[in-house]
Amino acid sequence: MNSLNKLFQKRITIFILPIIANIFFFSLIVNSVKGQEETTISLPEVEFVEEEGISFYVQLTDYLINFQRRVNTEVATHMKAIEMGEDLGAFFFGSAIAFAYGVVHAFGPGHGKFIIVSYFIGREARVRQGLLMAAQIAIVHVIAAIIIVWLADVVLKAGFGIGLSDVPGVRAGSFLIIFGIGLYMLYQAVQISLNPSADIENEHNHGHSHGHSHGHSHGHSHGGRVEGGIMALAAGMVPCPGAVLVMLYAVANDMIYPGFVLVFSMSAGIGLSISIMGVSAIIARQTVTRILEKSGGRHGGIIFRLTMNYTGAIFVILIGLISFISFLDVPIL
Amino acid sequence: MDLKFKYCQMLNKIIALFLYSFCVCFVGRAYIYANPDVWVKARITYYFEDNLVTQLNYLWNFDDFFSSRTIVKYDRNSNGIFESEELALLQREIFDPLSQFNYHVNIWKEGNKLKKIMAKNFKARIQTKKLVFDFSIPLMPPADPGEGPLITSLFDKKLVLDFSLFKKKILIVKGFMRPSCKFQIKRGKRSQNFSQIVTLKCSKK
Repeated sequence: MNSLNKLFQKRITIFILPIIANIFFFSLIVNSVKGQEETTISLPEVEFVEEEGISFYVQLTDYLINFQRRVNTEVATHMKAIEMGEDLGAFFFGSAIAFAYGVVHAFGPGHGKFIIVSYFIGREARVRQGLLMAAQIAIVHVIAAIIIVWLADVVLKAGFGIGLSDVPGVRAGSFLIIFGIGLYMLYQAVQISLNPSADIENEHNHGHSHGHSHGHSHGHSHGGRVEGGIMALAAGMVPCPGAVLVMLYAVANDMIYPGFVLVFSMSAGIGLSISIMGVSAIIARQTVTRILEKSGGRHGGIIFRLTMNYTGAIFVILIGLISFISFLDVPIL
Repeated sequence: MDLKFKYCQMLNKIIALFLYSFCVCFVGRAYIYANPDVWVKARITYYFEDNLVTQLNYLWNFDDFFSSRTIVKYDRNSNGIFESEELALLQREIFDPLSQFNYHVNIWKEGNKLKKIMAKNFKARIQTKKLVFDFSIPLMPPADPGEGPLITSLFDKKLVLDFSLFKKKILIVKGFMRPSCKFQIKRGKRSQNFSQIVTLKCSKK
């Protein structure tokens, strides 16, 4: 019995030991292969360096960008708060943030600033016309954003999908209208330059009559208002993509009312920035004309006006044309 | 008296020109920056192999608004996941068109800017209601940061997208990186069309 036991133990040792050795050997191989596949992941130390000699303008730009980045998140948070019926504070604070966002955002490209500035450089206008046009652009901006989002919503529900760049007709139309107004301004500039004295007289009489005869002024400024209205429509009909995204977010999350409130506030902010630009252009032109007339007589004033008429018209034409050409060339996200 | 009058006249003209130039310049300069509509937070992963950087991986986290718009459009069954068909459409319509802008990725290898950048391994996912893009830029041939700095910056020249690096875990290294390698991030280059420039430098072997 004992000898049988010993034989059994020996055989087990003979069979089992190689198996254990094999397992050990294979586990070594597997581990080494695994080790080769695993890559070390580390978080390196990073040194931050401030660029030397940063101009005030760059610092301001960085500040504006950072401000917008923070506010962008805040707008979403406040939209949710308004929807959840939180106190009036959320409503007013959210609106104020959206307004500030609009003011800062409008200082960037787009939103009709260049158009309004070029237009008022090339036109004899009053401050209130600048304010009126800015308000018109802001209102058209809101309406355009809502219409586009409404269209997007309808089409999305139909299952096709629409992007910001999927409304090319609006963009193309806007650029062509701007181009057309530029051509009209150029035509007028040519006409005025053929008989500059008559135009100045006309403007002087017109300005004088403003103070005394309200009815008369209506008759004269009517054409300007129509032209200004078309300009505002053209400049504002391409909605701010930021406002469209906010509105789309509102629709997607079923927050139409806060979305509308915040987009309206944002557009009011955009309107304020545009009006600052427009009014600056008007005041600049008025001031320079006045100074030149005082210092160099009427001749200097006339030359300046004519030059600015052409400059404004050429700028408006270029804005319309270049925008249209780049619209044909470059797809937008 | 005549001289005084002429002097005043000249001074007035100078003031007028200055006023006008100031207004035009101010308006002109305001046009340039500060208008992004889509906000992205990014992270870069450096892949090392034999002390060479073989690829860079980019992770983009989009803002609430763009995320919402994109998720609604491409996650058609609203299950919070981009299925293969949805992902393919998203890639075709949103990501692939970015190739014409080099995916807003700027890379300088040993002093030379890469002209054509090709992205690979594009993935997109929805993470806490936000859109996340993940893609790689292979460096062929691999970059040797010991021979010259490897510089990268995310910047959209059209300023539709704004990129900022994450505040934490900004950079990740996969693989073995020599201890002599250092990362540096420069701020304030926006005026020269690039921002948050990341430089990797290593000492020679």
